Amino acid sequence: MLSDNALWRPFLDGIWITLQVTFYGAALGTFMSVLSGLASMSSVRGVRWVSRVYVDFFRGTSAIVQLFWIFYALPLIGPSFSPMVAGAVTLGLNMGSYGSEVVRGAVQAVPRGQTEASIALNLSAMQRMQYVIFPQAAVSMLPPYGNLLIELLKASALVSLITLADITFVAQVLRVNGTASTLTLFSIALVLYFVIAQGIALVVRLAEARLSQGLEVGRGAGRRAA
Amino acid sequence: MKHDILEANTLLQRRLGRRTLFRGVGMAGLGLTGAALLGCNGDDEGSPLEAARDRGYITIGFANEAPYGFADESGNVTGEAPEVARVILAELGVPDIQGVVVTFDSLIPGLQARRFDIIAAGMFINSNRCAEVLFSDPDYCIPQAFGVDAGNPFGVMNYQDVANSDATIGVLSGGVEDGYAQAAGIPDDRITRFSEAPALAEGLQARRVDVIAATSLSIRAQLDRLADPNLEMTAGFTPIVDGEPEYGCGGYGFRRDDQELRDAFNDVLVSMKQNNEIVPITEPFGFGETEISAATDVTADDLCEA
Repeated sequence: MLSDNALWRPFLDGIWITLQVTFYGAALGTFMSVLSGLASMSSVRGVRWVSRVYVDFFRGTSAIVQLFWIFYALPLIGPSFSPMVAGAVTLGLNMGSYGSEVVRGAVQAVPRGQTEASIALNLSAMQRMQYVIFPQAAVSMLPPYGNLLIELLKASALVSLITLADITFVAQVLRVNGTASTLTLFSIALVLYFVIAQGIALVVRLAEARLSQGLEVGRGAGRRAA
Repeated sequence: MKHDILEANTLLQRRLGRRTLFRGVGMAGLGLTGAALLGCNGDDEGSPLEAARDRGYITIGFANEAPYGFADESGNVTGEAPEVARVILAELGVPDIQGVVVTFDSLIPGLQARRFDIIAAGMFINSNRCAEVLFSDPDYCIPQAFGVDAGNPFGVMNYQDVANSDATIGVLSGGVEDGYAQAAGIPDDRITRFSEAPALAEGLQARRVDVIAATSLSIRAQLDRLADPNLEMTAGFTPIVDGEPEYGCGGYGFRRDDQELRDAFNDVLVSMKQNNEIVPITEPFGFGETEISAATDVTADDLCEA
C-alpha cells in the first residue's frame, strides 16, 4: 500500500497546491503586515484609522466565512476570483491582520535613541525606517512571524472547501473512493503538514541567525557582521 | 566621515541582509497585486451551451458522495449523475465534462456563483430548491434508509420511530433528510449535521449518533466502504411529511437564467428515459431498474410543487 501510486501521486499534487497557497498567502501576508503595521503608527489620523479597520475586520471575523464570501458571494455582486487567488487573498489578508501588530510592536521596541541619532544624521523619515529602524525591528519580528507562517500553513487546509485540491482535499477524495482507509489517509496528511511546518520553522531560524549578525539580540547575536 | 557612511550604505544595499528587507517586502506587494488581477476570471457572457461546445467541455459540480458523484482513483469525476450527464452532453455536442468538488451545501451557491454550470450530484428536487435553481426531470427515485448498530437496538424503521425514541440522528448538512427529521418532530438537540457522507457514516461508527439517515444507496455505499459488522442498514422507506409521501427523486440543477441549457439537456434526458437507456449507465453504481423506472412518469414540475 505504501508504494501505491494511486495513493502518492494525488498527495504529491496536493502538497504542491498547499505549498503554493501557503507561499502566495505568506507573500501577501508579509506585505500587508508591514504596510498595516507602519500605517498604524502614521502621524496621519486617517491612515491609522484605515489600518485599524483592516486589522479589526480580518482578525475579528471567521476566516472560513471570509473565504466563502469571496468565493461564493462576491461573484454575485463583483469579480470572480479563481480558487487559488481567493484562497491566497483570504489567507494573506488574515495573516496580515495579525502580523500588523507584530510589526508595530517590534518597530516601537527599537530604542528611541536610534531614531534620534538618525535624525541627527539628517536622514529622511523614509531613510530612517528603511536603513535604521526596520532592519533592527525585523530581527525581533522573526520569531512571531514564524508562528504566523505555520499558522497560515495550517489554515491553508480551508481552501479544500473552495475546490482547491490541497493535502486535505486529497485525503477527503481518496477516503470517498476507497483508495485507503481514513486512518491511513489522515495520518499521512498529519505527517505532511508536520514536515512542511518543520521546514518553515527551519527557514525562519536560519533567517533569524543571518539577520541578527552583529546585533545584540537574536540568534546571531555576538557574531560579527559578515 | 560622511563619505564613509555613504559608502557603507551602498555596500550594504547590494547585499541580501536586514537592510534590504524593507524594499523586498514592497516589491513583493507590487508583484502580488499584478498577479491577483491576472487571476480574476472574465465573465462568461452568452449561452453556456454554445460556450461549452466551443471549449469542448462543460463544468459540473458534485459533492464527492458515492455513488451519486465522486472522484475516482485517477481523480476523474464519475458516479451516477456525472456518467448520465456525460452521455447527454455528448449528445448535445459537448465531448467532455470537468468536475468541481464542493461540499453538498455549497452546490447551489457554487452554481449561482458560476463556479460550474450544472449540478450533477443526484440532488433531490424539492420546492425549496426549485426556488433557487432550475431542475431537469428526475432520472431516479429512491427510498430513504437508516444506518444503525447491528440488530437495530432502537427499532427505528422511519423518522416517526426516531421521534418517538430517544435516539440521536445524523444527517447531511443541507440535505433533504434534515427537513424530514424536523417534520417528524425530532427535536433539534437530537439532530447532528455532518458535512459529507463519509463523516456521517464514521459518526455512526464512532457512536456520535445512534442513527444516520440518507438515501438507501448512500447508506449502502458508506456501510460497504466501512465493512463494519457492528453496523447495518434498515429497509428502505418513503418518508411522510404532513400526511403526504415524499418521493426522493434526483435530477440535475441549472442556473435560473440558463433555461435554454436546461431545456436542451432535459429533452435528451426524457428520450433516454423513454428508451430505457439509463439503467445500463447507472447499474455499475448500484442504481437498478427499481430506482430508474420509479422516475419514468415523474417530472421536475411535479416535484417542485410538492
